[in-house]
Amino acid sequence: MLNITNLKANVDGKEILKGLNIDVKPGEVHAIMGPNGSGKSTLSNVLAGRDKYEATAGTITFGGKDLLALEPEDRAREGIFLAFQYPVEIPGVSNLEFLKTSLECLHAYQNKPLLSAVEFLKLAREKCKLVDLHTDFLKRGVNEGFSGGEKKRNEIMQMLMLEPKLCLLDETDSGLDIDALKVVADGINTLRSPDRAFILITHYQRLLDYVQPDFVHVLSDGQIVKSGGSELALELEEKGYSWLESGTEQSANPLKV
Amino acid sequence: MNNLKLVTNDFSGAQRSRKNPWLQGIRDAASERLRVLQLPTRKTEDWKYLKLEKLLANDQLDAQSMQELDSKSVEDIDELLAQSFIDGLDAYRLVFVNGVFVSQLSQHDSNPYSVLFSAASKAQQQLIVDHLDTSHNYYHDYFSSLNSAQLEDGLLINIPKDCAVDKPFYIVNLTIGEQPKTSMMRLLVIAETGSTATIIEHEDAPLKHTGMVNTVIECFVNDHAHITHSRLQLDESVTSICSHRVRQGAHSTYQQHQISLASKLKRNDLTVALRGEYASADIRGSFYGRHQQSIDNHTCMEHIVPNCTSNEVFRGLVDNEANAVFNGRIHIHPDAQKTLAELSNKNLLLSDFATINTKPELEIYADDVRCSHGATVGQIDNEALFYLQSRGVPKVEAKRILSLAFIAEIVNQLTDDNVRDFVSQRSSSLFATLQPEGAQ
Repeated sequence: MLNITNLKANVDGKEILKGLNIDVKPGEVHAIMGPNGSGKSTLSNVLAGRDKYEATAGTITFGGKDLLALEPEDRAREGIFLAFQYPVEIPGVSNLEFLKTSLECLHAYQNKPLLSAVEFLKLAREKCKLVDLHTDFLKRGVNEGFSGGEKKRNEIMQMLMLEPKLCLLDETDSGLDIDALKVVADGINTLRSPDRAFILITHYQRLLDYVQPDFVHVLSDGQIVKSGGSELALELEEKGYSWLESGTEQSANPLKV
Repeated sequence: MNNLKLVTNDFSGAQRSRKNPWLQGIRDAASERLRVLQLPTRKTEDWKYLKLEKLLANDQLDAQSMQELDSKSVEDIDELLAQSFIDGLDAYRLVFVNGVFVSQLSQHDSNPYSVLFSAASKAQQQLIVDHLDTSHNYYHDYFSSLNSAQLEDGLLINIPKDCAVDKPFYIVNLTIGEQPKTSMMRLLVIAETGSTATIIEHEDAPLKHTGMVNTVIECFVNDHAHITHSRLQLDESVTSICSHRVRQGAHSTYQQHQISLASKLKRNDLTVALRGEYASADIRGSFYGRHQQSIDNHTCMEHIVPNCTSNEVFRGLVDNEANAVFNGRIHIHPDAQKTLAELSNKNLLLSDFATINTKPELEIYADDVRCSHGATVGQIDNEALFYLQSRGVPKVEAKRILSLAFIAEIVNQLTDDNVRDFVSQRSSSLFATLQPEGAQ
């Protein structure tokens, strides 16, 4: 589904990703972990197509298409969804209008029938309930005045509405209390299916207690330095990242031996 | 100035016989003022951001003679208007075409509150003469004097004491047919003590005909009276200069929502004089300019007595090579202690070639007041743009959505549902034509 080969990327002229490889198949859940500054968010931004995140080498193919050649909106239409680390507030645009426009844009592109106003509203209310957001939120401005937890739940709500093929979650779990974390995890688990994949970018093991990943990758200094199954996350939780980083650079670390 | 001569000669020299001789005193006084007043130039502070001399053709400033429409034209217009009127609005509808009242298009049978100057009773004539041009005795500008000097007719809305008018006045001013000369509009609102009314003014040019309108509006909001006034200036093809003066008594409220589309030149001067204690004025406006249009909003809050409140919020959107001006003045006189005055003007530039000149002005001569003012000029938020794109919305559409959102704060505050829906619809269809060059 998604294949990243030897990806190098710059932000403001500084190389952040230094030859990254990853292959994601439908149905899989990949967790990408790593210390601050390792390039986790850069990866998600490059995938979503944000300005100033410039891929300088390597390839990304998504469903056989060259992802880097697509505009952000076309990536979304192809089925990529990024749950933002810091969702943007847009006063003056209600959540409902926002979702409706988005859904219409995606459905038109994917040749799916457009929903009637009634069907749409029913669906939106249903999804709100799933992430424990009051339906009043639909009338409010996009993320306007939402708490941190509400913003993250709203991202999951959008993900449930738009039913993407590949869900990228950029530190969706950070800053959440345990109840909100469960809501987010439930949202992800609801969507898990054999033809949909997830990339969870996270600092902590916490989320992975609720969403069992198939693969865990450790990103350090712009490269994946270790990959493994879900047990790797537990190991990281216990030992931190330093043994891996120093493991690649200074073989003297006793933990590595 | 050559054209000044032309215009003034026209009044004092030619002695054109005008309708309604009882208004002659008003006309004479204005003609007298015009001997001194000059057409503003870029050296006039209040006009310095507009190339007025280029925007106005000399001959255009002269008023056209008021001619009644024949019945055929009325029928044609009637058909045309079915789509232009605000849907579902239960109101006293008063329709003017090129400055002339058209009774056949109006619906005001049971309306005892408004009367044309030309149909005024002796008592009403006296009321009109007593009020016209007295709303601000210390300030007369060139264009409003021009309006008064050529005054033949106008509309009086007079709300009796303690009367709450059952439905809004819906005043429609249309420009139809290419108009080489200026249409004059004159509105006089006198809300007696304790009265309440809603006025909706709608300026439009359904066939995009060009013309020029010189409007003077005077509102006398007496003690404990409440006026809600919506002004929809949706005539992009019409050059318009409007002088709007409000005079408020004690405990009165005046609320205005102004939605303006720019044109070759659109100038709005709004002055609110708070002359009775505990009066409150709430002014909301949004304007949108594109192509090579100009729009200039000058507002002035005159706080003359203590304990009054004024709140003013304007939002501007400027695209392509359009030029917009916002000048918001708050003038707090020495006696006006305990004044609360706020002013905010936010602007969004949608193109690298658009211009906005915004100038909030505070002039405070009292020492116990609370005032705040702020102005910002920004561009579309790239983060918000990317957020929309990442949800599958194309960039051009995302810009359209964010532009509309920027003025939504003003539009959403329109109190009448029908008016709000009408404006929302008009603005979305207007922005649907956002040009790619403007989306850069």
